[in-house]
Amino acid sequence: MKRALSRSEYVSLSRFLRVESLPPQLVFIESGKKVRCATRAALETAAQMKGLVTVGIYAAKKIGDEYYLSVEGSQLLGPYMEGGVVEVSMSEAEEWMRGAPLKKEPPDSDIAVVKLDWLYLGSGKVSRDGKIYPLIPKERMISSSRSRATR
Amino acid sequence: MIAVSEDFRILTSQLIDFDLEAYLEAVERPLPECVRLNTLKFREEKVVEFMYGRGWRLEKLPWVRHGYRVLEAPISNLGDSIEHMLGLIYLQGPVSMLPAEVLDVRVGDRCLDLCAAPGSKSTQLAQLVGLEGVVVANDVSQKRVKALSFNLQRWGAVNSVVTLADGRLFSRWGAGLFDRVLVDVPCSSLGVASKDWSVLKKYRQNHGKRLQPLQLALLEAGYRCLKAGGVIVYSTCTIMPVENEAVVSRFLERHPEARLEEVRPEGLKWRRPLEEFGGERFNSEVEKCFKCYPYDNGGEGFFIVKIRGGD
Repeated sequence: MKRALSRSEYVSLSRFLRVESLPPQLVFIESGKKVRCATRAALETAAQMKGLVTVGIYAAKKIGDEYYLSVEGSQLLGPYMEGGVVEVSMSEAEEWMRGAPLKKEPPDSDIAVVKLDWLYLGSGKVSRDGKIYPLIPKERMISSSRSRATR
Repeated sequence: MIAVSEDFRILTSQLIDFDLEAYLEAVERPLPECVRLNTLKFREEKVVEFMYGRGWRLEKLPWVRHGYRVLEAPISNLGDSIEHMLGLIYLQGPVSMLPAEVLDVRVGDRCLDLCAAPGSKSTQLAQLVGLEGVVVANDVSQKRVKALSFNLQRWGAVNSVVTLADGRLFSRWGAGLFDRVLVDVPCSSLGVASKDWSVLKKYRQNHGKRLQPLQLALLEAGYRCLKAGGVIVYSTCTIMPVENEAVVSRFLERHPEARLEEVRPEGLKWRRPLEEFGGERFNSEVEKCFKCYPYDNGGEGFFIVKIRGGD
């Protein structure tokens, strides 16, 4: 069942992400456990189509009361966040994109969004051991065995 | 030595402007590595700066906005790069970027990509229409729609809608709704044989003739989805006139109000479409189409026609 988030869910998402206000041209849509994000124009066009598969992108997944941002969700909403963001170096970013947990000072939240300079790299779960475990799907990870040689 | 079917030899021997030896030499080589930068999610200068900092060297392609040839890269498999995985770049053939560019997409347009999977051109349209516009990316194959959705996700296309439907029926609900329509039809793929040499061995005379009714029906459906005065681009990645010049010529017979516009991209070698083939004489307007063989630009072979709908 797909539907736009209610006002209270929208406020809950904003609070959770520590975002003052979400971008006005975007609509957040509940689709099972996932939250999708689309422009209003895309949503209006979708209503006129048949054989609808998806509208916009998968932005977050809700597990319990927590929202885990997808890579694109973090790129979209990261710039609006006022906390919960961990900055990494290029070598840490590469390890993160290989699926390795990050050994960094975690934020005071259960979820961390990881950022390399201006580039957001998705979100991760802050574990009790202090590490941040990436929530990046396998098909979006870079291979750990790849050659690093310059061609 | 690449194996080709006897039918392929016979048919190409009838193409007066075709050089089989040059063609086989061209398709034996892999396509040049090119990328399109994502301006929907990021600023182009930022992406270029990031990539240069990681050891990439790029050269701008003159015929397409945001398209670059890769001169150097930090890794051998570009599809395994951080840039690809994070949606900063899309790996795409150099000529394959042309159909969406030719469509003259404006910011805010509502676009339809009728045969969209795996989504290269849909992602391109998504960045050209911007957040004010919309791209409806449709495909008939459930399996291919998965790849389409995946690529639009990676591209961050919040302005996209993915549908699964027979493109020939699309005008039943999409008639008159779109400013721009791209119809990149299923074809015999002889212009991109460097990706899969088996198409040359499997090619039979009736392939094109079998595909033509589908291609024409898709073009018709796409045309009906246009708003008055809108633009539609029909493209194939094949060299066979039965799927190219003949389809356009037959379309024009049915639609005298449609106007073809010349496609003459900067920096790409193009050749004049054929006036006749296999005893069929084509509409003289067909000369405005773009056609190139794989050996013309060291890339893909493509046929592209730009049609402006009547008011």
